[in-house]
Amino acid sequence: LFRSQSLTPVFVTGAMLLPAAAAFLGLFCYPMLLTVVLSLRPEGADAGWTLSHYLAFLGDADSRGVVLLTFGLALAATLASIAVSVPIALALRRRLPGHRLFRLVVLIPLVVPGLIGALGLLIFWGPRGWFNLFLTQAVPVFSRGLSVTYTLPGLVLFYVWLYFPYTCVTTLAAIESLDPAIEEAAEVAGAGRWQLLRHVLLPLATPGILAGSVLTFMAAFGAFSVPLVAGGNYRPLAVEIYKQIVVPIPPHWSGASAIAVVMGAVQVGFLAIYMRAVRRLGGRR
Amino acid sequence: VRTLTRAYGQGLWEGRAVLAYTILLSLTLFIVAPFLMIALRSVGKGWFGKLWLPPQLTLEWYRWAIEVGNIPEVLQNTVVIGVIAVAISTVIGLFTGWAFGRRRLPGKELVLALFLLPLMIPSITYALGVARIFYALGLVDTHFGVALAHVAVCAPYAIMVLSATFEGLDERVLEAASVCGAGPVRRFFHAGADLSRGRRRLLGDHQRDGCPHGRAVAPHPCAGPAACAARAAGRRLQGGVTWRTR
Repeated sequence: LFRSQSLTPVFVTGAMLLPAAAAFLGLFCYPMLLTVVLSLRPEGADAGWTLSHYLAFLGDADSRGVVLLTFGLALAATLASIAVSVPIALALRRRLPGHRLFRLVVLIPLVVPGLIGALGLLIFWGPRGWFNLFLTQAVPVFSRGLSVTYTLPGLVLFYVWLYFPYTCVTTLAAIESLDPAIEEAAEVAGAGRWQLLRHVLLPLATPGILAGSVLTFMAAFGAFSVPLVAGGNYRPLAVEIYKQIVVPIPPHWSGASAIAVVMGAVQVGFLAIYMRAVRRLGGRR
Repeated sequence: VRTLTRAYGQGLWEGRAVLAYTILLSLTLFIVAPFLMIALRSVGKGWFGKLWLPPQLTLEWYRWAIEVGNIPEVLQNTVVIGVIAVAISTVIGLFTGWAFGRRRLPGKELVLALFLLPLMIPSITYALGVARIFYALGLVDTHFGVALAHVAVCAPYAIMVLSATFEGLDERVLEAASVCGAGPVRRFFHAGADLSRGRRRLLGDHQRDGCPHGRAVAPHPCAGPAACAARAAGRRLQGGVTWRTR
């Protein structure tokens, strides 16, 4: 109906895609190619091919530890986010007075720049923060505070604070989109609250929850600014790459590129496996 | 008996409500308390030891931030970079969104998936390449360069959001415009672009507080592609509730 008569439609459509294609090629494809090529060059050279950066990175136990740390952190944050999100979604689902306000509260970590969140978390959970004040002054068991900041569980906690909203929002959407008739049927059949949750609500919402938690995983896997500021000695891949460029003089561009390629491969590989698993889970039900 | 049953049911209901509110209030505390502490620290003085609140209030940290921390300049960087990045991404998103949403395009799914690919791969992977190119072109340490680096991550959102918007445009508005004698170009700019303005504003908000750090570090253009993707997803889900009422 709206196709132009005077211009060839295909030509117009192609022209409309040009800016995006330019950005895609110039800011993604070509740089990506450059990173891969760089990772195969000897350090500082513009010619020659070598696999030494990959072999050095993958052959080093510390480096393998970094990959494992990044992956483990992201996975732990994802699982913890699911554990946190399900009760919150169940509480929000009931639309109690004030539930709109709490829905907004869930989104706060998404709209605040991560660095501000990290700063606040470092202060709040730090040795002089309110958390430790509460522990030492109100809980008799703790005479000394608990060190949270710059520890591994602390970092997972920070990741959860920052990235759980992705999981929470999708969990809520998954639970709210369930047909109320199913729930009523279960209640008529004599299911208690717990049985309803365990055998009806959660199994039905699981594919949605898992699909949403992928976002948390991706965010946590690629996390950069938060571990940079609050990670202490725990440096995940993104920070490691950054350090390769900033710390040594001259910068290790090729080494950094090799780590970046490994990181991209791990993320894409994991996503492929995870999404396939989620789809299979969704198809079975 | 009925009264008793009802009272019992009510009690149970209240028990569950208490549980729900406990969960929601702990959540609020968990999320908001760090900000409260930042705010108090920013106006507090001599806050050491085992004190719950700062003993003295002061504005001297703000003066320090303006005089030593160079806040006006940093703020200007943030705004300039944000505006440029939003402008470029919006133009890209408008054209591509229109092409995806309103025109027949063979292999649309594949092209869209390609354009959204930068969101699936850790941004630092291609940011290294971007940094190398920008060093060669002398774009590093310029507002335009930092903004352009953000476009790689921001444009996919613009495309995602605006494709959906244009797909959902009311055909009747465009037909009316056509009846009124508007050609395809005027239909696009006057009817289509106006209608999508609400969405664009939404996207602009996202990009401004999501992507540009005032002093973005060279190889890393953004808080992370996933962070942005999910942020956009969250906004959109939330948008279903709040934005429609506007």
